[in-house]
Amino acid sequence: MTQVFTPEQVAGMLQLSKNTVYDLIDKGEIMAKRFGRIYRIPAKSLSFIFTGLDSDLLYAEKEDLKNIDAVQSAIAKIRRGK
Amino acid sequence: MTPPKIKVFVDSDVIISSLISNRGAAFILLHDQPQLSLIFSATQPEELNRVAKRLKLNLNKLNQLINLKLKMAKSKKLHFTGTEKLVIDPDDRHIAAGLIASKPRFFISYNLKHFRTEKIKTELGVVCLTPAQLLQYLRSLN
Repeated sequence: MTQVFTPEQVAGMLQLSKNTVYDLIDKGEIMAKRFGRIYRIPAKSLSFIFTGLDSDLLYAEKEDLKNIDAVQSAIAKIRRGK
Repeated sequence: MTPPKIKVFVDSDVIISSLISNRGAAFILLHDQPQLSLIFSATQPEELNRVAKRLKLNLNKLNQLINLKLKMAKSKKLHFTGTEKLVIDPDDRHIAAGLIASKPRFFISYNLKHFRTEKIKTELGVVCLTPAQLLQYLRSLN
């Protein structure tokens, strides 16, 4: 199950005020789901906090890493002159 | 006035990765970032061709990429003096020699564990990152 956070928790993690987090949600910079009057923010929206990368860039890096072992093994063999 | 392009030295694993998937960070870095000047060393075209053949990749696509997107480091003759302290695997010394010759601002590789990145930063002033890390940095400039 996807982990979710409250705006207050995210404000603490990012060292921002709660109002700034609500502003970022309004601007679409933090993706959140609204349930009536409350918001919940999925961990995926906070990719940058956990990985240093926005979620689309994390996805793009993972896409390359699927094949990186084969790529690096081929490069290593050629660099070793095999 | 257009700001000067950011000089980026690209390792072979990034160039090859960009040929495998057009959704990966390597492809985005090499195709969609006009503010970058992408550099590689004189020894890499042959290496890239051999790797592409081994992995059965499209050689035409590789050569198009080399001709259209990448610039060869100005110094065609690589000097290996001082390169041994910048790498962990001596087989990567030609990449270190390329960094010394081209003086980029960034070195981009998926194989940073084989390079002494702190030494490269302190001695050459070159920041070592993965493709996605550089893309993240570029976002912070906008």
